[in-house]
Amino acid sequence: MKRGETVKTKTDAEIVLDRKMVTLHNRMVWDLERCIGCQIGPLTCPKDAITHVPGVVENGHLVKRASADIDPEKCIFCGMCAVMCPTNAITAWVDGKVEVPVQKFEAFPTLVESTKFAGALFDWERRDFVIDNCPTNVISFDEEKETLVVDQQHCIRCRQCEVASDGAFQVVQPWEGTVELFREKCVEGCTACADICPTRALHIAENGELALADYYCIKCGACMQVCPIKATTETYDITFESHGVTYTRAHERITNRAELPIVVDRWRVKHTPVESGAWVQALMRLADDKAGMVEIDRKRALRRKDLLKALKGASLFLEE
Amino acid sequence: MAEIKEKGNGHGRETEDLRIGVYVCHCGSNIASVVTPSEVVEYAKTLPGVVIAKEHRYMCSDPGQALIQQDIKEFGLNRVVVAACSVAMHEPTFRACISDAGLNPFMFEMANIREHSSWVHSHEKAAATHKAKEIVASAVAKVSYVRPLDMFEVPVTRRAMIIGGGIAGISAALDLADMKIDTYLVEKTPTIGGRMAQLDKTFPTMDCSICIEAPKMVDVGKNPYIHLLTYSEVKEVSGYIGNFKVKVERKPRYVSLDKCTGCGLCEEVCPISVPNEFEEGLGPRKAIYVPMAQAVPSIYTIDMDACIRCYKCVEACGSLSAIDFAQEPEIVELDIGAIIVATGYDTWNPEAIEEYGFGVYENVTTMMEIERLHCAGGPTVGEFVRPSDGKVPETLALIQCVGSRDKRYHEYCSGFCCMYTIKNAMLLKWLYPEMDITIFRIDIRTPGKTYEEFYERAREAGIHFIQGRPSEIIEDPATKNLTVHAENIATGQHVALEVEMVGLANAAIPSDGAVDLGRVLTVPNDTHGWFLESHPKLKPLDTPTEGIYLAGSAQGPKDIPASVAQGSGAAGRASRVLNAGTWEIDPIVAYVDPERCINSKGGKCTICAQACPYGAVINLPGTGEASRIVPAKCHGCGTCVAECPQNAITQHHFTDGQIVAQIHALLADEPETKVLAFICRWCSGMGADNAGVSHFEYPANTRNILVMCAGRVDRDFVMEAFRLGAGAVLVSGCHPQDCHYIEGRNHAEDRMEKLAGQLEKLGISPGRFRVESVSATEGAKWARIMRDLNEVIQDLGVAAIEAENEAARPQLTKRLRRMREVPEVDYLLRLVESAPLRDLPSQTQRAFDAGIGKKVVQEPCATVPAEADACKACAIAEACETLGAATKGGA
Ligand SMILES: Cc1cc2nc3c(=O)[nH]c(=O)nc-3n(C[C@H](O)[C@H](O)[C@H](O)COP(=O)(O)OP(=O)(O)OC[C@H]3O[C@@H](n4cnc5c(N)ncnc54)[C@H](O)[C@@H]3O)c2cc1C
Ligand code: SF4
Ligand code: SF4
Ligand code: SF4
Repeated sequence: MKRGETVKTKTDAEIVLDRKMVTLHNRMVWDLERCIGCQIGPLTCPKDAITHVPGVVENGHLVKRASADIDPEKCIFCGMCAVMCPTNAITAWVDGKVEVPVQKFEAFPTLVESTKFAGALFDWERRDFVIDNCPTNVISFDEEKETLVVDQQHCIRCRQCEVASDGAFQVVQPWEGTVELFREKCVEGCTACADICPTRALHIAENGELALADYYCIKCGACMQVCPIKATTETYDITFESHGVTYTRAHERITNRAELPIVVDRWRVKHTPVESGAWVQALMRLADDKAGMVEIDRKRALRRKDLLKALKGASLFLEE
Repeated sequence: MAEIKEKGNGHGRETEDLRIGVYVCHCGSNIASVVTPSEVVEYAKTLPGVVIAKEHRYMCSDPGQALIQQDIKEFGLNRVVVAACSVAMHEPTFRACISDAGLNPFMFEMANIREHSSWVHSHEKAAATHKAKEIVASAVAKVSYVRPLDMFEVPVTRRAMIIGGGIAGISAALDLADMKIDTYLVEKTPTIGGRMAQLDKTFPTMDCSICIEAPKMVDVGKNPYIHLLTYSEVKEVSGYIGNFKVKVERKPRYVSLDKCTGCGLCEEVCPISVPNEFEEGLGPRKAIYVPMAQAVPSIYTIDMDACIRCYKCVEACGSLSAIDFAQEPEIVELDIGAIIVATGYDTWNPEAIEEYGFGVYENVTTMMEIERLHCAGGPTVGEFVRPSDGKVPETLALIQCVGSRDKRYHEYCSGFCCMYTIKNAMLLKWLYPEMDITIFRIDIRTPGKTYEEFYERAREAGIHFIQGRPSEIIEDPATKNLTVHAENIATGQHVALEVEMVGLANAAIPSDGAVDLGRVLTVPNDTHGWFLESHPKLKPLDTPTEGIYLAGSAQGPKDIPASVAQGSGAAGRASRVLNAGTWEIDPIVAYVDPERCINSKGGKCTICAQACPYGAVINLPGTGEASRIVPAKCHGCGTCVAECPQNAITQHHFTDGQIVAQIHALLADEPETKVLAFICRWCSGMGADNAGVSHFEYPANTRNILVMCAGRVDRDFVMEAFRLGAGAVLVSGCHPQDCHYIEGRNHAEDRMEKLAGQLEKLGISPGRFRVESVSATEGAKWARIMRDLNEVIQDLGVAAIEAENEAARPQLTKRLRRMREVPEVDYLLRLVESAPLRDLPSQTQRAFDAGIGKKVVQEPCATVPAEADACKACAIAEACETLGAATKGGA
């Protein structure tokens, strides 16, 4: 290894990339226990450094979780994946501090998301229930301040607490979109998606059947990745213009929507304003194509240059 | 545009009888102390056609040459043989000598009785003398069949190209520009400057490296005669001296050269940091970058492998609009008269030496890293810190010869490491007087001017030197300190020295891609990959390819003074050609006898076109037109000659007749005891010379026939040798990557492999025929091969060899029937066999009528007149047109 070359260390629990120069030390950490193999990382990465590792489904159950793997030669430590990861499995470090270079240089936005707690509105009887109910175990009771606190860094914004607390918790999810379950299309007896769903939106109902509570869904799409009925896709080029140059980028489109038991569509993401080609490109790959483009709130998009750019590309595509 | 003219200095003795003069040189005692010249002279007098034979202490001296010239006049000599040293050494000398006396320079043959006899058989004087006689006989046989040839005169494009913008390339460019020669400087990185720009101070004067180099870089940037092509690489080179056609690829910088002002605003906003190669990865650069502050041109480049296309830079650049993501690679085509290769060196990755732990132990560094770490312009702004914790180390060990002078990695000495190690120790001692510095060395080599004094100063400064190559470095995982284990040769004791940081003086290696570039240029690289000079002493800046010169570390590690001197030297060599207007090139090209080419009878043969590494053949299968070779494109390897199944192709000065005559001369006496070697004149020939220069002894029963390229060696030659009874036959060329004719030796290898199988079937023991590759520096290997082959002969015994040959002879004779189709060979064989020359078959009659020694002129281009449709189909019609005049009467 020459100085400045990236070193990858992989254990069952995490993948760590280290790039050490004397005056700069970059590190990316993928927490494999949080990773659900959802495809958002691979779609976000501008260098295609992340690959999806499929899960293993046996007899309708997930026996090995889907996850991700990283090519150390391609990663450039931009940190875009860390921003977009829906389960906060990825952390970018610069010189020992958590820092996302693309955000520091305003080439990438911060997603607008939050989980707030109003103690006054809370029925404290439910305290332990709400804490236990959180699928990611990020709510705890602060003895000193006598209130419930949320580990914001690891909260996945599933809104389980919101429902469980009867509204004392207020969650803002970054992604808007839809999720639909068509039970009749499922493989008999399969509940693999419930095994991967990080939010319990997909769950086994009291009657023993697979059920969807779409309010909790964070639109990560991990369920589609483990579903034995695979989406087939075709690639097409999206042409878009930026800074006076017309680019094309390969994009995937599902061709067998009608056969799929579970379909997640991402339409729009809330984020701080940003002027960046990298963001436009990430968005173009992440937001589901047709539905996403049609549903995007045009008025709001007009106010935000970046989305406008996304739309420019999209309009080209829509015309074809 | 290229145009070839025949120069009319041929002389009219061709039809006269043979009148050969043989001159045997003593070379002081170099030859005479082993070979008895007088015996050789007496023997030479008995050879057919020899009218006079003489000896002299130094044939190459003025009196020696005068002797030849006088005899030419007095005895009407029409051919001359000098038995002395290597063709590489003095063939040009004697060609000029006889030319001055009015003979065509090609009516000459060199018999090498020094490198190939006296120097390698000093303990077998009688055998060496006997061998010298046969070498002379072979030269006489060949010279009897040589024909006068005229040099081609080609025009010269007065434009130079330099590959590599280090200090050597910069020096060459500035000198050429001073002569008002348009010069293209091609550099693969975004800036010129090379390795010197990375250095802190320079030995032995300790002046700041970039401070003295930057002004020169700026001069290059400003000079109207120098055209910089940075971030560019040479992709294709065709043509020949004075008339190269070059294709250079300009990689896209994504920043416009005209618009970028180098302000650096883009760099500030770019979010992506990657390791800076210029800083040896010690510090970062952005995705949009200039490698260093003094870069020339001072223009930014986007590294697309790192860029995420956020377009922050576009925004920052604003109205200058210098950033252009639409740029694409661009091919620049240049007409160039002479080329200088100055691609320098790279540093070797010492990870391979696991004992030293580079790449594993953070505080083990390379010496280039140390340069950057104490350089004020470096990533730490001159603060010398160790990588693990950023602290200034109190103790430092520097280890020399890491991967150099080490048989496991690189045998050679990297030349400048001793000096830069001492330099870095001294510099650190200045900066940190308390630092304890120990240098582990094998030897200290200080051959430059004031270098030894520099070493002396280092010792006075309190730097410790331990003689011994460390066996191991061990890291303490807690402190990250390192313990260097070595055997102190001076005291014989084991040393275990704990230090906070280690610097490795890692070997210099040829720059990345040097071998590929060698192939593009058809310039050979030596076994290590360094570009090979034409002659180590007398032509250190020339390459075997005329018109291409070497400067700086591209040829082997060199310090700055030597690189600068070579840059100027190479500029001088190149300007010799560029200022000449026209240049003469060797006429040893191949030509097709149209009557014999099967295509003239409607054949569809493409063999010669496929064999030619230079695309010099106009091949029109199925048109009824014979193939034709464009002389200016032909480099004279002779590969097509050997491949042609019709024996329709001949190579001037290396005709089948001439070579067969040599085979006969060398195998006339006791052939079963002999090793006959067909060797290329470059690698193997120079390797055999190298064995001589190094006085590597080997048995004296070995005989050589020199051709330009192993590719010229026809199967028939090998079969003829065995038919005549040879004990063993060797065909030896360059190593595959070194072939002077790109593919020539590979064709030979394929061809000979097939032949080996056939010979084995005929009962020739496999050890008796061998194909080898020997480089110009592998004298020892050459001697070993010669010993091996001799052993094969000894082991089998003459009787067994005779029996094998006897059994194979009828088949060989049968297979060699076609060789006689070459009129000249048939004529020769009739003479040898004393067969009647009457009733000659018409072809032989033709050869005879023409006079074997009759002058050969370029055949007019009768086959492909410019208007013919065939021309349109022909791949090189363009070249043919331009060469119209050369092909006399064509187009
Ligand atoms: C650690 C260290 C310290 C040293 N200190 C000293 C010192 O103090 N004093 C001293 O005299 N010498 C010193 N030297 C030696 C010095 O670096 C060399 O003498 C000098 O750099 C040789 O110059 P060059 O132009 O031949 O080659 P280089 O400096 O290597 O330049 C070659 C150039 O060619 C370019 N190039 C390579 N391949 C291609 C290609 N295919 N196409 C286009 N361009 C190409 C390269 O990018 C480079 O710019 C030191 C060397 C080292 C390693
Ligand atoms: S840090 Fe950037 S380059 Fe690396 S994996 Fe994440 S998105 Fe890809
Ligand atoms: S577009 Fe590329 S070079 Fe320009 S600022 Fe962004 S990452 Fe850097
Ligand atoms: S190899 Fe010989 S026969 Fe075949 S095309 Fe060439 S010259 Fe003619």
